[in-house]
Amino acid sequence: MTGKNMQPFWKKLLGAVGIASFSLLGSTLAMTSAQAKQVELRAELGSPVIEAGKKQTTFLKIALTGFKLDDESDRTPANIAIVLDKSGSMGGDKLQSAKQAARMAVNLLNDNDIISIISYDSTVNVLVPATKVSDKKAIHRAIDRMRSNGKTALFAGVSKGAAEIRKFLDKDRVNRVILLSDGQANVGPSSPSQLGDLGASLSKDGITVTTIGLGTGYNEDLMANLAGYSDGNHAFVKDAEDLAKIFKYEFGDVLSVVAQDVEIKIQCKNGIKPIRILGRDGTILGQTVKTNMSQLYSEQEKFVLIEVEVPAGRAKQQVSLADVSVAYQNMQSNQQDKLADNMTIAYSASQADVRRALNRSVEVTATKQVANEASKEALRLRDQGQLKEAQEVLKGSARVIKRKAEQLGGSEAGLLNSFSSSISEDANTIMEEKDWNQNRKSLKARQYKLDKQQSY
Amino acid sequence: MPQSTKHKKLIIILILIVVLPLLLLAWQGWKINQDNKQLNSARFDSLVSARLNQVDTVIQSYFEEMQIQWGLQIQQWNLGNDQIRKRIDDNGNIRQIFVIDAQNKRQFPPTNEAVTQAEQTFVDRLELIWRDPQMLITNQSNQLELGESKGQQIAANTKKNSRALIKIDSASSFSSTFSNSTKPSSAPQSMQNADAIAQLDKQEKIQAEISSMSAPVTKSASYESSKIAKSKTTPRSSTNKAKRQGWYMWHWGSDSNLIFWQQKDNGIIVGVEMEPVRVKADLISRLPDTVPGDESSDFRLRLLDTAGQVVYQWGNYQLTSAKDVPQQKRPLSYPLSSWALEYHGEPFNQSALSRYTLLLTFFGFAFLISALAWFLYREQTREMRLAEQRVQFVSQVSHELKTPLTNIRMYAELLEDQLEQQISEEQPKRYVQVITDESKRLSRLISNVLNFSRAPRVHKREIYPDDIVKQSIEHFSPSLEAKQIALELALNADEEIISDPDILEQVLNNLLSNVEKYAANGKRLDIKSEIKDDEYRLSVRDYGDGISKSERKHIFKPFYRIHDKLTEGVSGTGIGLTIARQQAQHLGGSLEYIDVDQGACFELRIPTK
Repeated sequence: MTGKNMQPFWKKLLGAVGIASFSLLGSTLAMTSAQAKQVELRAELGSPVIEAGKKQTTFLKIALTGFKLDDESDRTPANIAIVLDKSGSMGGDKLQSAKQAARMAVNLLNDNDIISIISYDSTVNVLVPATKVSDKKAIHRAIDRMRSNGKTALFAGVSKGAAEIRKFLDKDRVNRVILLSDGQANVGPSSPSQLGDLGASLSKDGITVTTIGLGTGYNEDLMANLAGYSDGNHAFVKDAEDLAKIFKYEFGDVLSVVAQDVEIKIQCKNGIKPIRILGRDGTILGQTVKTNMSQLYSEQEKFVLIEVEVPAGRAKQQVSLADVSVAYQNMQSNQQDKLADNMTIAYSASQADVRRALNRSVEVTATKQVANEASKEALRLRDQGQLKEAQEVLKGSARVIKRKAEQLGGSEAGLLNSFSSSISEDANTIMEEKDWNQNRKSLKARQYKLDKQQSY
Repeated sequence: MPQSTKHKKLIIILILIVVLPLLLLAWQGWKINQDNKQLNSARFDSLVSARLNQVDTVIQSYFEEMQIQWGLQIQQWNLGNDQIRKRIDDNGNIRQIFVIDAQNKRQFPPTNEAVTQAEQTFVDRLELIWRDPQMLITNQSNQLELGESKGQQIAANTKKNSRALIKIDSASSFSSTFSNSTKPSSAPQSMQNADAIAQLDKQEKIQAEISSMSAPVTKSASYESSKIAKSKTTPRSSTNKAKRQGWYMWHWGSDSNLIFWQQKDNGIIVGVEMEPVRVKADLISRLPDTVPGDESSDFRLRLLDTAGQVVYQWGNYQLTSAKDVPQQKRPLSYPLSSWALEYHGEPFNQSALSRYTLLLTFFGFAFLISALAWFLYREQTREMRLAEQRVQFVSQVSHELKTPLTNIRMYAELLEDQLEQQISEEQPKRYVQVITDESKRLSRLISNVLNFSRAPRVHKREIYPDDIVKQSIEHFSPSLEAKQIALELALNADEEIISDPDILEQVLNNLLSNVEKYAANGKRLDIKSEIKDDEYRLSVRDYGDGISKSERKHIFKPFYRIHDKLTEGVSGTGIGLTIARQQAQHLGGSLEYIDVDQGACFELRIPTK
């Protein structure tokens, strides 16, 4: 598909002119272009200065922060499909809370937004086909008609939701499926990998999926996969009363989107080798790393953390490490914006120089992300029944964080110490059979939140 | 005839009158119902299969649109590695892409440089194709150039479906849909469905492509429109043109994997592996949803994948268990021919209402007939009772008459005897004779009536039957003489038999009385008797007018009198022959009418013992 780079010629011209601002005509046009706010790109290294003479690894953090939305009217119109589970297990309070949350969510939208509401049990019912949010009462009535019954055709529900979104799919809108489920998918494709594939496929079309797991009956791997591969949000809601709150957070995100379809490319240079991307999905091809973010929210930071291997260098040598380029759809100007940055790394013989140069905030981030990878590994081990090993991994991880805290000192130390103790706590809970189902869901959701820098 | 048997007969007849029509009705009703059921269930079946076909058409149209879309897009593709990767990244329908050059070498995913992890698993997955890329194309006998239309293709395809590795070349449907897409309106629509991000400018571009493409492709379909298109657009570079294309399907893991491939004029093959879950999601988005309480969807349709797993289902019919047997099942048309559609629903039945109506009709009818039969029965028994009362009355009266008559007869005979001895004058003797004869006649009449109303008591003893005959003839001789009837006797039964003389006499009396009354004009009477085969046979023949054939079967019926000039002006009760035959039967014998040339002849047969 060629859609995304097929900007009309005049827009490209406008962009070029805006930057150059040569001609008189150009400068007047450029005024509007320059006023459009830009996403802030920051590419940083954990250790900008490293020890000379040996091969080592360091972390690269590419952070993007959405600009501030000045007022409500500026916000990006949304195109939302709310997909609600109304299977038998949702009966009673759960469905009532879900209805209430959906009603509340509808109230947050306005005439410019598009909504569709889909309910599913063994079959799927499109309660409200994609429509402008002008008659909220009618939408509320449709929501109230839901009755719980049957099994859980989750895949079909999301497919129908996506189909409704596609009716008004537009890169100048926030296109999002919000899925609520409290049970195991048992009609249609239902493996976590299949749902992950679906998430990835929808994400390619510019649709993100947010998954909200209610209670302790759902499959958190499936729900996290579906959200993860489409770069949406994922939340675990233990009590149905909290649904409205979660919906509020979710809509807070949706309604503060400032950039979309963010493509990040990191081109490593001079023998620098990317090893892994932490948390996010992406591809590493030789020295090139590519990853995507679905959306950037106003005043929220999202980042990619990459571990790279740096070859041995001489002291006082300065090497260009990587070029970073970011392209995204600016939701305020409705144009594609491009950002670029580059990073250099220096070698030093002095340990003190190295320590002094440390970027403390990147180090904290990296420590957390590495610990999160360890936490995922522990979960994997726990799932295989290796409880002891799982606990060891977490305990080891907690020790590593503690050491890092000591090494960094200052305010960061306190931050990391409290993180370390929460990991230690996980090390304890992971051994317990009691409430494991609930704890696993909570752990999964926390891991997800760290991976994706989710706001809630 | 005894009353009780008559009564029984009546009941049986009435029961038959009730039961037979009911049985007939029930049978007819059942048969019609059965026929209707069959007809309706056939109609229902064809409705169901029409519905399944409709769904299959929807699914097929998806692949047809995909064919058009991919067929056009691939021709425009720049096949550089970066561009291909960008396509994979940007299009939700694509899982992976491969490019194979004319020398059967894989160009993408590249063989000589690093590949991503996803690409590596793709390479592993499609091992078979790298080994022999031409299997996409050459192992088919039915390879066809684009734009040709052919029918044998489909037949060839269905044969292949049974193989594990299915290859589908769908040039036939391609060419048909392709010619449709030359109409500008349908093309953008299909594009939008498959690729909704398509912006207006892009659509216009594709539309332009379609018209340019239509020139080389739809040779046979629309020659004229292609000429117009040719004149409008500049021809594309010939190496990039599609030579042939098709679907290729195989099963890997639990998914049905589809590849759309296209071979270009320069021999390069480009294959697009569809994202399997996306194919499912897209199909779901095209199939109907389920509105609870919608009565028009009282069925459950299911789309099953190769493994028999439900991909999607819709309709309000609730399946009771997982084992629910579908009413109909059909495979999808290609390329997903290993998938199936199932129809579940209420098993077809004559609706409860119609069965109710049928039963109601049946019982209503049964009630009516029974009521009628009951009414008839009551009427009939009343009639019978009345008749019985009448007969009883007559018999009572006759009985009462008998006693005084016997006295009259006795004293008349005594008087006759005395007169014989004391008076020589003839006149008083004749008077007494008349009195005696008439009283005898009257007593015969009375005994006839009495015998008719009740069965006589049989007193068998040893008798000479001919004597009885002679005695009887003697009684009649005066009147026979008076009517000038010549009597011819041939009595050859000079043996003793065991029988009841009174009854025998009564039979004969009845026969003779008939001759006297109705056959006097014959002027002759033959009476023969013999004993043969342990039977005493007596025949009485007159030479009168005889009895017409049509009347013969009725003459033994009670109260039946022949209505013609024969009986005109002659008084009679109409029970003579009836009684005669009954009496013969009481003796264990028979009385029959014998067909003769002239007059009438009756033969009495009674056993000798």
